[in-house]
Amino acid sequence: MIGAMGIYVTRSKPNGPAISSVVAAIALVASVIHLMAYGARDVVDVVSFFPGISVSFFCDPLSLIFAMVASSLWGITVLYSVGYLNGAHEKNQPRFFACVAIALGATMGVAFSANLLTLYIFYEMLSLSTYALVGHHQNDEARVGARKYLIYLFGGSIGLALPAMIAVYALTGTLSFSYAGILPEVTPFPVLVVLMIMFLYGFAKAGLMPFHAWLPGAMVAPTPVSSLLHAVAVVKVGVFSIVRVITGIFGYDLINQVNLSQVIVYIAAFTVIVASLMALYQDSLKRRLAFSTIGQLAYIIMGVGLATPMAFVGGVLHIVMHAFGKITLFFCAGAIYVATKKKYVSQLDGIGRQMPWTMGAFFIGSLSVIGLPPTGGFISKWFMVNGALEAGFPVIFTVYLISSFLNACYFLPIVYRAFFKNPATMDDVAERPLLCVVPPVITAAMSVVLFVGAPFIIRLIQGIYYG
Amino acid sequence: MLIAIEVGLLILVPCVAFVALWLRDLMSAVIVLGAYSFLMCLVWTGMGAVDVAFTEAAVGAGVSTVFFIAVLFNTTRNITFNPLDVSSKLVALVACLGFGYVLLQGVSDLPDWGDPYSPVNAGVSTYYIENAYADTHVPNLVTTVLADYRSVDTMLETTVVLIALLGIFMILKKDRPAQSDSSDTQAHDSLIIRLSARFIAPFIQLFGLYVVAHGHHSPGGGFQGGVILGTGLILMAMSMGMASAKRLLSIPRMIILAAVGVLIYAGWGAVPLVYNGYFLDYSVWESVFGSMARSHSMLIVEIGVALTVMCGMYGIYMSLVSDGGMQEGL
Amino acid sequence: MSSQWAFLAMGIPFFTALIMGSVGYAAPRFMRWIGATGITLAVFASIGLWSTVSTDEYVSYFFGGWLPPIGIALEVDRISALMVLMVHGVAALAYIFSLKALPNELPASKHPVYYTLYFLLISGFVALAVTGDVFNVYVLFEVCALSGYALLAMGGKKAYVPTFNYVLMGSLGACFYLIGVGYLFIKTGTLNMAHLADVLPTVFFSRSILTAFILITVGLFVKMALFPFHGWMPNVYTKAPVSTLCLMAPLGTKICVYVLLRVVGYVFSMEYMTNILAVQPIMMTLATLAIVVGTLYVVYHRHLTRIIMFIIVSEIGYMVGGIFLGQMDSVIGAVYHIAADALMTVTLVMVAGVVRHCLGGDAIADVAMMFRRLPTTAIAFVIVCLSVIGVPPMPGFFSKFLLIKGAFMSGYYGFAVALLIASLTAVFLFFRFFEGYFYMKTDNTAPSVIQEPWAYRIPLVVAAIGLVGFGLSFSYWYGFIKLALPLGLA
Repeated sequence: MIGAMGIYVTRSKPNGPAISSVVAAIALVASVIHLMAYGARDVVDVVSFFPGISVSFFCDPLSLIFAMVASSLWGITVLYSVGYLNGAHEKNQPRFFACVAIALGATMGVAFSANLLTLYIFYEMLSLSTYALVGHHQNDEARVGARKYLIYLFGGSIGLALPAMIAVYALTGTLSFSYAGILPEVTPFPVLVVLMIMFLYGFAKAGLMPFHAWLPGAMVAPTPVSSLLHAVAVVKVGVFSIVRVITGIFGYDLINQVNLSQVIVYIAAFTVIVASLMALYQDSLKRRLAFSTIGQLAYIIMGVGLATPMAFVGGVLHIVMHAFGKITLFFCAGAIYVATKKKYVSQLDGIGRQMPWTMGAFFIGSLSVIGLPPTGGFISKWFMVNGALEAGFPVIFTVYLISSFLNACYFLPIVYRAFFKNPATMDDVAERPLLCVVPPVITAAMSVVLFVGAPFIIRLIQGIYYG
Repeated sequence: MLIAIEVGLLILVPCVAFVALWLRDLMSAVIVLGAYSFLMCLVWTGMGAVDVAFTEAAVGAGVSTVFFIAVLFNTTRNITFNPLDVSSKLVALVACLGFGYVLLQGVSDLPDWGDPYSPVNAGVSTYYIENAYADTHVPNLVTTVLADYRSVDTMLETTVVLIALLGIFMILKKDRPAQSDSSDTQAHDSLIIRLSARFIAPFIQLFGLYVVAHGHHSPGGGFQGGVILGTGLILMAMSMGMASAKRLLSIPRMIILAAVGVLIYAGWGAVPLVYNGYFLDYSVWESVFGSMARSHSMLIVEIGVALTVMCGMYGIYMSLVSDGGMQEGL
Repeated sequence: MSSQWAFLAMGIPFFTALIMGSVGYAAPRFMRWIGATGITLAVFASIGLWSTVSTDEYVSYFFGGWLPPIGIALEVDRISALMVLMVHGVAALAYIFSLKALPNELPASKHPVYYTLYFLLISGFVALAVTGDVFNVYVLFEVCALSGYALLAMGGKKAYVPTFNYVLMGSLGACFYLIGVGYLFIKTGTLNMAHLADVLPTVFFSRSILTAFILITVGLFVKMALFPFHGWMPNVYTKAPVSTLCLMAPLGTKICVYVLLRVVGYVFSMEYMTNILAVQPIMMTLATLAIVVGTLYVVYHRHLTRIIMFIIVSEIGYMVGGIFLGQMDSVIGAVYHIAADALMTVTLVMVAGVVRHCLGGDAIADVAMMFRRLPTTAIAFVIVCLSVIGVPPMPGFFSKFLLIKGAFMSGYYGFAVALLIASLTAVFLFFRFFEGYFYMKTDNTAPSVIQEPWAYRIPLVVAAIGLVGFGLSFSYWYGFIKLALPLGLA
């Protein structure tokens, strides 16, 4: 059933009308909800390759959460991209929607992969399909961005993740995820560290520094792509893969035993701070968002890497919260661009008065990313911060606080400018088109709703951690 | 006595080889190579490998010299060396010395020559010597091994001759025939040569046929006989001039005949397949030929070999000497 | 007698060639039908052989009814059956392709001879895959080499000098091999592979056997164009006609790798190679260098055909490395990669050929143009590129996976790194072509789509489907090959 769904999504390749995308998205959400209701945990082998390795799918709360987020946001994004693409007069729309659908199919595949090989297959598929999306504009800027994208992603996956995966296979003879971990306890510590680092950087989609440079570069893509793929699908696939590796390949028992957390969290912490600082200096709105994303992704990895129940819950929860928050921000950036052709933060003076709905959504989105109530981001961050204390990493605790402060520093001024500064020129700007305004409002609302509905998800996640 | 002769030969062989390399005039080098082949022929005879010696004489000294001359006829007999090109020669020198060293290393613990207990003499050869006649009723062991025990190798070697013919023909073939070549050669024709060639040729052919047919009992067989037959044709072509030779036996005709030669071999071998036997298993003919089944079959495949080799030799010669220019009438 | 398939697989193309040679000039019209019948029957024979070894695992065939070591035998295990399948599959694709490609490259009067040689070459390749006799291998080398020379020289005047170089190098390699076999024969008195494998352990510590090993392996290295003996290959292949290339480039070098596996793995045994000689480090260094050097050249060149040639150079390194790693998985990977690479190479060469014939050149710009004008070719190209890069679930991924695993298990990390570098380079190489298309300036006068002739389209589509199928059926082949591995592999 699950396998069939993965394939179904891959094949649902709409040629042209976005409507079929919408239909497919609704069908997908429905099937994910269906899965949630009947929580099947069986492993389904589709094609088996050799002993211990096959393309197989399974479904656990982690994959459900991730699939739910990606598929529901896909539906909203499709609505939004119709508005955006028409508003910005983009060409080659059929190719665009087809690639987005393939990318989503691949994301679903990653979500439901039962072993590392399957995950890797879909991971590569995602890279390929999004390559075309990044280069969508087909000009020189796009070329540079796409090339960078390719070099980082393939360099990471083939150069680091693949050998690490093969090494794991050579060590254990299997690649299936198991919460007990599959690496034997006798594995020498240096080998573990090297493997962990290879995985962390190999899944370059997670954007850990210094493998982050593709992300700002990829912002040349049309905004719906940036929003869906580079706030949700692509980067979260990277993070999700790392989470899977940490929990499914290494296993928390092993990590706690040899204290591998240190390696993970310090790498991530470095990324958090540096990315937040860099975000401060970006004038291009989308680039600022991109650096913010890099920092937030590292949060998640840090949370999961801390290897305590609280932090893990926080980390996984942050996948959800950040997705809703960040996609709101990207939607707003795109809406501003469509309405005014403005790309830079310095141009945004007074825009909040002209586009109140958009900037209102922007405000909520930034609250969520900063981690302030009443948005979902607060809850996930709360868990992570507590987790840091629980795990006995006061440094990390500080990192969380400092970076939250930095987040506020780079987001709130935008809001301030938008609402309280006088516009430089009095253009006749208004909210338009409708399909560019409604989605960010919906996602912003979702961020608030998730604040209330978080306990449900938390229970799901705790289910994972405790078995 | 024999040892003395052999030592003398072995000293001569490298000397001749060096001379052949040393000469700048290619025509002379070719002649010297012919001499080299004759010396090798003697060496083989000394070792008791009469069939090999026969082949060396017919192919090495005979036909290949003719081929070389045919090529020189169309190219040039002088070669120029680039005196600055020392580095490649050094590389070649080092490679040769290394190769020689490896070979000599390997020789050091080979069994003695003629040792009756060496693996070669104690292994398969014993079976061949003891059972060949009983198996096949053919007295010449070499023919038995070539045309029966390891028959498929021989078939493939015959194919190689066919391939050589086809390849040379295809590479050299030009679409428009060259005009003046044939008349030129005819102009220098002399009556004496033509008459003597006509006189000799039938005897050569007859000898060739004998070698083919008598391969079972004495040294010789399809390869050697085919080469001799081919030489006879070449002699005729030389003396008659291009134009007449072309009329008599065109290269496409040669190609067809050569292919038919291999086809005779392979076709004869394929008959057992009908009776669900192994390819080249001549024993299916026992119902027809009785105990001589294998012997007669060998004769037939040798005829195929001879046909291919004859046509091959002649066709290659004609292609080379005419520079591919004589294919009108395809 | 089901073992008849073993002979038929090599016999059918052989007889086809002879019939073509005999009637070709009389009735040139029938040539293509004779060829089509021949190649179809041959493919059937290879499938028959495949199904036979699937149940029996092993087929022996004794020429003339003489049991080895007296006579010559064909020994077909599962690996050879896979090779036969590969040769006939690739040959069938190449033959269909040549029906349209050859008339562009060669005057019609040469076609009968060309196809005769073509089929002789095919039968030579097949026979190399099934023979169980080391001297027979030499004879078959001659058959393949001579017909190969002639077919390659058909590229016109500029092909002559490279082909002549090839003649020299090829003869040298064959000569080394022959002398090596001579030493073996003197020491053991037998030429049959299985018998040799029985006898050799008694004389393992002899210098002559060492010499034989060196000569045979070096001879094979020259023939398979392993670095540093690869010099002849790229030139001669680039200048050759595409129709020849479709047959030679995928099979010519690959079948030599197979012979190397036979000789090293089965005749000399892995035991001799790893424990007694301990040549593994040298061989692995060579293989690694081959990959690296091939990769460097790949980056440097701008024409698709030439790039393919250097890809072959580095892929040869993969396979040789896989064999000499001496791990069970790595040898399986190497064997699987022989077949996978043959399929990939033939597809690449066909793509290059189509681009050359339809668009007039194979530089990056032309290939980029292909995406717009030759959609079928473009799809096949993308699929084969993914396989060369090693994206799952394409065959290139699995062989690379096994090879890297083998490298890890036996501690040759350099080899693993070289493999990964090659993959990465392939990514950037092929994306250079994709980029060329993607960012091409589009104007309204863009040329329209060209419809490839059916003789181009069918083999391309079949090859692309075959690649995907071969990758997806990996587990089957893994088990299939595993049962035929030489002894002494862990």
